[in-house]
Amino acid sequence: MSVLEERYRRWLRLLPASYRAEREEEMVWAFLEGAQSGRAGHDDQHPRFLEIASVAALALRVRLGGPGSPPRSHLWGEAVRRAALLGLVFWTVIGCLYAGQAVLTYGIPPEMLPDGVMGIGDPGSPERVRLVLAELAPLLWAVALGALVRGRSRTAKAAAVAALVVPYMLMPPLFLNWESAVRWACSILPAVVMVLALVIGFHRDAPPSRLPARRALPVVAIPVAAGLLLALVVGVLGAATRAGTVPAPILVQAWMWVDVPGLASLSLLALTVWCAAMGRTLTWPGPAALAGAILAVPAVLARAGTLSPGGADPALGMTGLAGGVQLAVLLASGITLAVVGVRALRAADDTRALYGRPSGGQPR
Amino acid sequence: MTEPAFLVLTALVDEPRHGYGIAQEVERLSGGRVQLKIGTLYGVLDRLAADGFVEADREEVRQGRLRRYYRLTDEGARALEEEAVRLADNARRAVERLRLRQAGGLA
Repeated sequence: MSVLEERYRRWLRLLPASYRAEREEEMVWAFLEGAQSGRAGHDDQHPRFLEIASVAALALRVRLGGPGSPPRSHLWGEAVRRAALLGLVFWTVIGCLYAGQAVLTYGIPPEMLPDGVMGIGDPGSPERVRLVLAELAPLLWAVALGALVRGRSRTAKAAAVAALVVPYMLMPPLFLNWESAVRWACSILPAVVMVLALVIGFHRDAPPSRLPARRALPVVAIPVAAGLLLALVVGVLGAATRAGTVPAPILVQAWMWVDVPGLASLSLLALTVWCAAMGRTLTWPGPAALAGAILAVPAVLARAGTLSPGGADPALGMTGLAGGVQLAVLLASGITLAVVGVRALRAADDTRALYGRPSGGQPR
Repeated sequence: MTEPAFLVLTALVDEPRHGYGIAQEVERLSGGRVQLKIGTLYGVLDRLAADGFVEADREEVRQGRLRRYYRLTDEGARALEEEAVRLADNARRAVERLRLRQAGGLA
């Protein structure tokens, strides 16, 4: 076996074993024939980058398959697609929360702003415009969700990437040291993971995500309404903080539950309860549970990234308490969802063992 | 139907071909413009097989290596013909309009 063949076979391990059992030999032969004619390889030692990329893309499509795929691949595919969908629902809530806050803070005449509300820059200044646009840009999450449920996955991907990137282009993060950079990276992980799930899950072979307009409307409208309601809650919290009428320890705890990791912990807890309740009566919480487990990992890191050693500061101690509770909720939810998901994967393997590969063509 | 799928079906019209043979024929048909990578080729073949447009024809072992040949099914031939007619209609309309434009009709 030549070095080139050995290396190409190593890349083919990206594909599932069942697929390789069916296709590896003919793929290797086709590749080597191309390499001999100078088509597929730059030299005798290394497969060309685009060849490797094509194998990686094929592996993703096969591993995250659609309805005609082996049960395990189908389950993983559904899990990643639901992670994208559930994530988009969550980020639509957050986007509307940010936008609602921006409107509450900057959308009213400056003289009517309550004392203590400060913005960046003067009204109409470039700094103010950039800030407001950065806080309105997350509305693109709602656009992405709407496009996805109407079957326009390409538009959804473009809108989601824009929703992720544009706010940071308008207001670049400032890193004081490596620790602040790590904390920032942890804070954006939940959105990054969701966008990745969207991009890789809704590939060309994935089943269409289109819902009828009557069903698609509430999928978008409910998170939008929830986000706007939360913006009002945050507005009330802000007013209470400025007025100093509520004891600081209570306010600190309350703020911790309306930031992104706090809301993520509540959302994942709700998903866990739903999966546990439905698990015995329905067969389909498996993908949702795996999706929740996928989303729980970055949420744990995001929460952990906001916590600091408390020391003697009572305020930090309170954030540590709420943050600790949320971390515990996230970990418990993540583990429970992973257990439900793994059971579903085992059931999928049992189905495959019982009935074999679906008929009608090559393995996918 | 994507362009690679269209070209793969076209490559199989005259005779069954194996993986590399299909890739070569697609490159020739497209005048060198479309060079299918092996991962891409098998992704296209998977989709076409799932749709019932191609199927395995035979297997040969040469120099100890497996070659699987694929052939166009009747359903695949019908799908290719429909797509070819659709593309030809589009091309004809474009040419007609361009001629009108050159003649000053739409300018």
